Amino acid sequence: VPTPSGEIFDAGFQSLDPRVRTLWTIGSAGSAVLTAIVVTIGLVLLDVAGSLVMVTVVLGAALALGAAVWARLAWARWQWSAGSRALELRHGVVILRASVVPYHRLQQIDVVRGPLERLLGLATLTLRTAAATSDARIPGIDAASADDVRRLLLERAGRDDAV
Amino acid sequence: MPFDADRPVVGPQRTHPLTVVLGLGGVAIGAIFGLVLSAGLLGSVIALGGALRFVGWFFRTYELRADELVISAGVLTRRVQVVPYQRIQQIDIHRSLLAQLLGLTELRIDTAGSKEGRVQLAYLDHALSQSIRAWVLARRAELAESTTGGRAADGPRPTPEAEFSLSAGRLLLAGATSTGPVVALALYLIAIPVTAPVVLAGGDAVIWVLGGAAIAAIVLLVATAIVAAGHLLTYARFRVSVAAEDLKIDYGLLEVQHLTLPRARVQHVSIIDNPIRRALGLLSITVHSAAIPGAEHETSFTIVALPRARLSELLAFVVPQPHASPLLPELAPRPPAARRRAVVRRSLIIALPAIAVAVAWFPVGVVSLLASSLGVPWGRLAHRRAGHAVTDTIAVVSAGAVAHRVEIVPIARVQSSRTRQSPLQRRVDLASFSLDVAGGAPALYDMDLTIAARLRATIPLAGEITRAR
Repeated sequence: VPTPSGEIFDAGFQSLDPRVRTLWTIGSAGSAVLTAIVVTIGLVLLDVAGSLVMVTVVLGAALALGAAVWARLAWARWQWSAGSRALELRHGVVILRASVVPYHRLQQIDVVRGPLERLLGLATLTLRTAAATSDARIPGIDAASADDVRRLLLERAGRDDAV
Repeated sequence: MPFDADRPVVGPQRTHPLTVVLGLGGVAIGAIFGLVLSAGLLGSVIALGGALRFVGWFFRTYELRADELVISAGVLTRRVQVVPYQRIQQIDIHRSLLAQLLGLTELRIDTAGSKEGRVQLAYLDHALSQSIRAWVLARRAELAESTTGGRAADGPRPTPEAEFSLSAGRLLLAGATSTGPVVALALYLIAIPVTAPVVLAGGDAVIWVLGGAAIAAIVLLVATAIVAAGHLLTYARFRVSVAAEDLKIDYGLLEVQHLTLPRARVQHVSIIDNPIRRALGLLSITVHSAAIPGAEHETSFTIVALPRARLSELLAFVVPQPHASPLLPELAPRPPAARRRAVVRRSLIIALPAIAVAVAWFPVGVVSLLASSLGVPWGRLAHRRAGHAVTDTIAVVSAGAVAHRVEIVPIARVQSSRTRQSPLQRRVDLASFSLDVAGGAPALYDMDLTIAARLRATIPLAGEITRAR
């Protein structure tokens, strides 16, 4: 769990909040399971052969399981570190991505909380630089500490427009 | 000249009355519908549209104050836009064909610090717009001088003067040698061995080959002519001049552009050439600037045919000079594993259609698989041309076998950096490396992982030091 105090800097790499695994699992498995349920109900109502219904149920369950495994892998790989001068991110399951964003380039930091994130008590920090391609998004931060992290990062940001 | 900050120097003033007429495009569409239905409806559509345009124009005024441009608009809800001269990144003159015929101009003013950063003043008398632009730019320079204070004490800085223009002949040459026709030719050459077995399997081979060659030649010729004519129209009267801190770019026949780019805002520079242009000693160079930080659109201009001999002269104006090293440093090659991947990847690109042909016209079609051996020289050439270099002021990445591309990024402009590793790259310790700048992300594929990781950590931080200096 990220520390909400001023200790985020130079604390080495840290993981995202473990609750983000639930968030990601629901996010990607939710639609698969929902589709499977709707199709199954439809098939039962239409009185289609039981084996086809079984296939749909099994497929839905497999997709949900896959989503859960994927979420766990993604969480295990996700690491972020607030160094003394730059933010570093490492993530990706199949394709590994790493990025370095110096604080003096930060122009804006948004704290975003979707409905599921609010339920789980999580938040996403979106950092913006002058480059649209910068990869600087930290999902799954504990909602209570998100504002502190944001404030601490902003304190280190430069004051000019830095383009 | 002392100014009273609270009193307008010019205005409040309306834009040119013909603005009402020029903005009637929407009304014209309505009028066409009206015409179909009835004459009475036509009349009322024109009257209503014209009246709305007139009211909009009547209540929209601009004022040039000592330190800022103020634009007020709106009938019921008054909207006032204030643009401090010092926040202005760019003032461009834009003239559509219709505006040119009427002697009018649209002024586009880009500012920093907001995504809604573009302010338009349309339409103005052409001569008036030029003097407004000159006055505002001069005022911006004065204000910058007074706020930085000490800088003036260093004495006048040397004003570099240079001009790059393009003759009609060179524009046609640039169009004729652009990458499109070259790529088409290369694809055709590859297609011959790929499709030959199909022909040999049935039909008259001689007629097919000759006919195919003739058709390809005609298509190439027409494509080349179209591209060349397009270049001539778009870039006619092309001129880049360097005036102190700014680059001024003027071009166009139907759509006339007058751009001003602050030299300090250049984000990256792309140098592109191909075998034909290289043989002619020409290259194409695009200078990307950022008018509005964080916004999606960027501002750039391209010199489509710059003689290679003048490259370093131009680069000296648009990228910071490395200390005690040649302008374009020697590039470090990628590791041998990258060459293997370059060859395999390109062979596969050719092999996939070749396999389809081989299966479809088995067994004669199998000959087409030979074409994929072209991937070897293609990949090797691509590998030889790829590389990177980093000096204390710029980072350079280069790639491309046929259309060769060199990207130069001032280190002080780098916003962040990234690496990316696919599972196959991971097996051989390679990574793709990109630098994020406003309006682009120059990248080099298949770089040595250790080097990429080191550059990822150092380049974005080096920008801070360079900027502080």
